[in-house]
Amino acid sequence: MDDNAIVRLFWERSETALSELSKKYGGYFISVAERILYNHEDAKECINDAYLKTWNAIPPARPNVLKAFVGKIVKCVAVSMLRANTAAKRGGSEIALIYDELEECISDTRSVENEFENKQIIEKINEFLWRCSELHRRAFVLRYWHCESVSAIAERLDVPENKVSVSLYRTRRRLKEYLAKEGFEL
Amino acid sequence: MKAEKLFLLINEIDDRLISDAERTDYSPVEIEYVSRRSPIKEIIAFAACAAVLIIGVFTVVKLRIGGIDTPSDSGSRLEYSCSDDMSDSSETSENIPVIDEEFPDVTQIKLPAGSFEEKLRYIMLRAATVEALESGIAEADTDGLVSEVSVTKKTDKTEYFKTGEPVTEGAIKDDMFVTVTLVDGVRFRYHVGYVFESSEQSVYDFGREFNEQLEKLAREAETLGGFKAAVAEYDEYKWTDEIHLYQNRDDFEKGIELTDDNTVLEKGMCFYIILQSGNVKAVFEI
Repeated sequence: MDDNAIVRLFWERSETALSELSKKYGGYFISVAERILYNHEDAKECINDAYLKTWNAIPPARPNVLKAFVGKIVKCVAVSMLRANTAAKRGGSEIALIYDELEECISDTRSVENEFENKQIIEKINEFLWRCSELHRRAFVLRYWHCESVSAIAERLDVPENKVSVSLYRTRRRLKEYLAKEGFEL
Repeated sequence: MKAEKLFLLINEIDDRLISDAERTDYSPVEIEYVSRRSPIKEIIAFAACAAVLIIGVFTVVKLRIGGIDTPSDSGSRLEYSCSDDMSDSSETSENIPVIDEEFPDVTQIKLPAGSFEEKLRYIMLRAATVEALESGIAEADTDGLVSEVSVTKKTDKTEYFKTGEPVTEGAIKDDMFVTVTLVDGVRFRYHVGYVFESSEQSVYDFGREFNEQLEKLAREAETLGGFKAAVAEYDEYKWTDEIHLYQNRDDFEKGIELTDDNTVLEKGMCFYIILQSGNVKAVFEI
């Protein structure tokens, strides 16, 4: 079933919407949640919560890219669960590595609190990524949005792992410089 | 935790970026910066004049003649020597012998202080022999970022970047090319005694600066034809290959183009401009 048809089911308040959503993207959502939570049972619980939030969000929302829309909800729920999940924080999960890497984009002078400013920063991140070369852009998004491992990214893009690592390093550094130039320091 | 905050900000990026990342049709394309400069003879003559002037003055901190930046510590590569200590902190990115009167903004790269690239440039500029170059780079490249180091003789006087016979040992002389390629395809090239360039940085900086200027011209122009004329006047080196105008972004994505030069430019219209044979593309709305 295509995404528009699934969204239509949500709007019709048909519970088939959730089963169709799960059938099409359930495996992907579970793998994303597992990369963050490092625990299959927690990931399943996370997905259930995310589906409930999706059910409440559509309508009124009418997402253009359903996978990304629900994926964002899944990751938000997973991060909330992670805060309470000390086992995952102790290490071993992909998210622990991702957090370490993202620290490089952050200055130690202030924190981001303002919602309006957050939106502006997201816009700047979008701008920055669209300006990147295809390799840098896709590697960055696969790593920090899809939470894929470096080896998985290398396999997907058919380039050496070292090249992915260098690309991520450069993009993180440039993102920090770009945001600073635009007046944002995280 | 700040990293978590950034992770959540990245979580909200454009859906198209998320879908784009998962495409299956990726084919690695190396961006190659192609210089379109004047015949080498003019540059050589100019470099010689600059060197004579600098030697005559003896002490130069910052000499600017006709848009040429000359290094503060010397004006000629003849004064450089290969040092055992490659991490001299007194050398900064301001102190490189860039001689490029035609495209100072395009080719004068700016590298962050303390970066691996800056260290690389330091070594490339000072290595007097192939052996010193290779050992210096091997020592600095602790993370395995360098994939290839080469020194070649220049053979074709009409083609500035054309490289020739490899030099595997001995002295590195003026007019040779020292080229270092990193594992991600970024290339640093030093035309000994003349210009140091990075394929990545020059294209990146060029695109950013040129894009900003195009947007400014678009805001000022009244019609498509007027914009094209303004670009033609500004773009004296003919970087611009194609200019396309669309009523809005939807039309841009659908490929429904406005081609009449008399089209009055309105807010919300979308420009798609191809520069440098497709190496740089500018997309922006008025």
